[in-house]
Formats: sequence, structure tokens, C-alpha cells
Amino acid sequence: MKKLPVKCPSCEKQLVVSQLSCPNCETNISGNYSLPILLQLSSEDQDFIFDFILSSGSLKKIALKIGKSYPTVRNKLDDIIEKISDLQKI
Amino acid sequence: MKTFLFKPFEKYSEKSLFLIGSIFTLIGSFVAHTFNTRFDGVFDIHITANSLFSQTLVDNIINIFCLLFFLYLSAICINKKTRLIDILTTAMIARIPLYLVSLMNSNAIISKATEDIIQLTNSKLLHQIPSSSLFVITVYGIITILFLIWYVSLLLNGFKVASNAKGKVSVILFSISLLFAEILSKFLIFQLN
Repeated sequence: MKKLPVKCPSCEKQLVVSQLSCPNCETNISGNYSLPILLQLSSEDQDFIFDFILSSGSLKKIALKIGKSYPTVRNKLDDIIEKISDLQKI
Repeated sequence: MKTFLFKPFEKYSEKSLFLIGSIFTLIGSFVAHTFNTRFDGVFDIHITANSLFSQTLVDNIINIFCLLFFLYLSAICINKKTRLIDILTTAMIARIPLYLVSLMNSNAIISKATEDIIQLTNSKLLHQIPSSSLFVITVYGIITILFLIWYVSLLLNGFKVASNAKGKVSVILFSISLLFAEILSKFLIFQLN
């Protein structure tokens, strides 16, 4: 699966969605839509959130699954919460 | 390997770290007793004429307690979610390099070299100090400094993982904690002897 770019490779600013298309009827919609906050996170952070939901929000289960200690996993979650809070302010 | 030696707190569970830390505290106390070493302070390693197992064990328990107390206070200031067990395992695991240093006094090699140097220095016969004694003490000093650096880096890494500490303020709090831990541990061990 192709990785969705969220930052401009030229100036590092946040990218926005300017075109959406239907693969079935080939309808194209142009506009200026901002990316959902979760998609603005790095793919690593998105994978972590995915694992977090799949493990019913148990950090201990995630720690076991990815082979990291509990505080490392909790720190990762805290960092993601901080990033989301920052993105919400923008 | 780097994670195993310097950042075990990122990978291993608190149960494993606590078990390993407890075992090494006992082994380290026994080794220190066997090779006549005292840990009479958080940052102290001294060769003595004789050290009882009960003394070296109490030294280590006091040192771990002092580190736990002050590092936990700082960690709570940084992050209220910090768990006591993570700071405890940090203090226990970080001290392992110091236990390895005491192994160097096997056959009382360090004690003998130190005695030679002190006696000849006191007698103002500096030129008669055997070069082998100087060599032993120099190597011992260098290795001890390297192991102390390893000890502090383990403490700092464990502290960072336990409290999610970042930035200069956390390093300053960490340094102040170590200073207070050293003072309290010296005081408590001195009072008990």
C-alpha cells in the first residue's frame, strides 16, 4: 500500500486534499480539504493507534506484542496525545 | 546490544528487571564482601580491610532507597503518571556496573597496590613505588570511571523512560536528585557504622 504523504517534500508544511476521485465513475471533486488529524500523524503513530484499538486499549498487551516495556509504550501514547493536542490547536 | 547494555528499561518488563535487579543486588553485595569493597554512598566504591556481607547488603539497600526516593520525587514533578516500580528497577539495574567494579579486587590486587603506594608515599620514597602498583591503580581508576559513566547513563535512561522526561529541566532535576541521594546515602551509611 502506498504511503500517504502528509508533509510537503519541498517546504515541510502540512499538505491538504485538493482533489478526490471516484474510481468507479471517474467523477473528480476539486476543493481544499484539510486532512483528518489522525492522518496527519506519522505512519508509525497511526500503526500504534491501530494496535491500541485492536488490543482494546490495553498498553500491557501492546507492550507484549511489540516487545517493549510498559513505560515505553505509555510514553509513546503520551507523545501521540501531545501531538494530537498540538494539531487540534492549529 | 546497545539496548541491552544502556537502555534495558525500554525493552524489558518491570517484573524481569525487578527480578534481575534483586538477584544482582544480592550477588553484588556478596562479591563486595568477598573482595572487601564497600559502597558507602550512591557514587562510592572503596576498598576496605574487611567488609561483612551484612554491611555491603545494607550499603546497597540504602543506596537504592536514596536513589529511589529522590529520583521518584523528581520524576513525579515531571510526569505524575510515573510508577514507583520503574524508578526502583532503574536504581537496581543501574548499580550492576558498580558490582562488576568490585570484582577487580580479586586476590586483593587493588588493596596491595594501594598499600604499596600509601606506605611509600608516607615514607617519602616516591621513587621506590613499583611501576606495577601504579599501573594497577591507573587501570583500576580508568575502568572505574568508565563503569561510573555506564552507571549514570543507565540511571538517566531509566529515569527518562520511567517519567517520559525530555529537555534540560529534566536533566537538571535528575542531577539534583543524584546529588541529594549521594548526601543522604553517605549520611545514613555513616550513621549505621
